[in-house]
Amino acid sequence: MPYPRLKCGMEGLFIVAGILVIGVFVLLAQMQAQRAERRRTEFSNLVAQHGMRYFPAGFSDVAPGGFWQQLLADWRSTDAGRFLCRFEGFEPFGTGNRPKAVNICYGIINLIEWTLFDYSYTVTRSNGKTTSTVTYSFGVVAARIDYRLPSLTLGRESFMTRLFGAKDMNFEVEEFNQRYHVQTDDPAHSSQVINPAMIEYLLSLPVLSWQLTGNQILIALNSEQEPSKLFQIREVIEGFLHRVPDFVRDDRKLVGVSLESPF
Amino acid sequence: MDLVAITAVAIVGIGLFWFISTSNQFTRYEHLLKESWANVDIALKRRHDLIPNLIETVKAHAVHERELLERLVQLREAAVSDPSATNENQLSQALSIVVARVEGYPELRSSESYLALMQELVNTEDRIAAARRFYNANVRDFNILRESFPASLLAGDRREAEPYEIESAEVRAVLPAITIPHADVKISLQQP
Repeated sequence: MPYPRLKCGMEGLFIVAGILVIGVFVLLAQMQAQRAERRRTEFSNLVAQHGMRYFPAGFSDVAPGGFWQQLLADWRSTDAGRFLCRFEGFEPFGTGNRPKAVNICYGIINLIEWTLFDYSYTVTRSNGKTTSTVTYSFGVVAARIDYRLPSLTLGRESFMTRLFGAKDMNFEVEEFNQRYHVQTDDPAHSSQVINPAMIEYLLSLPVLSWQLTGNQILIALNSEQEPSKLFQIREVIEGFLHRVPDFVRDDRKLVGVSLESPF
Repeated sequence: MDLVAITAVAIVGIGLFWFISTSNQFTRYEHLLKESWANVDIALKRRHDLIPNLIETVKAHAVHERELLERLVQLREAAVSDPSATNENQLSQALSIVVARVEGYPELRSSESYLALMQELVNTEDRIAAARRFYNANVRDFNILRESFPASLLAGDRREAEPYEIESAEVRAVLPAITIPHADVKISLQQP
């Protein structure tokens, strides 16, 4: 009677496999929870060191779909809206659904308003038969100041950006031109900001994706980042802002703009 | 036959498109050069306007520098009437000498009006440098277009634009050190 023994063996195997799978899921969930807890502790410590405030839960109680459209129509209605609308026009904001900002570190230091946080949104795709949802995560560091910056993006220059990218602004340092793809709608203002000291500074750093618009400067790094990395990026942005010439700050001073907490 | 006609029309169309876009590009650069030169001019005028204030402030404290100040007045007048690179460079040199000499007058150096003037001069020199860089960048782009083939075919009698080379860095170098906070911060980021 070999067959029943085999059946019995298979059933046992399935049960063991099932337990193993559940065990692996539990273990992974536990590891993820531990990692999240470790990050929260690290964020708390760094925030305390820098005299900032920490909001671990952040904003995730937002509408499940078409959020950005809803937000634009009634953007001052919620705390989440007030917070996320500050970054309208920057990448990756305005894309996808279920935007979520957690682990928000906030503070005003030397007239610069800093916001560092984990950001994610989801994109759902369907081919009629199956539906899949992908979550995209970012580490975001943003600074708000009391003067206007040119609309400017600086990113890595590549064969593709040379070939298909919009017109690149070039500067007097060829090494800089080869490393950075610079796009702007105000070349005169941009050349005041990207001065020789700034070029030297940017060349001393790894190429990051800088976005400047209005009185904000923002760097969004792909995938969730270590808290210490976000605070390093904060220092990098601070170095950038300190190299903006005084006359640019004076000429572009925003009257009546106050750096006020969204919390 | 149709194919030949279509090809001919396409070639003429592409040629026309190129002709119009390149001509517009030349026009755009000519306007950009004018605009950016106007910015240089404004920045230089700002410096010219600052010099009488500087002379008045220095004269009150440093009576022994009369000759130097008189020379500065002459060079300013020359630069106002003709803001050529040569005149502006001579003015820059004289200005840097005056600022350097003031180092020997501690009273003057610590006076509020002088400090405010120095801050304004720092800003003005930075404005001149920024305007000059932008103008020279446009000159470079215009000259590249003018000399590149096939755009050079449409350059016509457009002359090569000349960069404006003045040594405002000379004055900036002797001005009171404007420190950049955190400039010495060493940031070690791993290459992504």
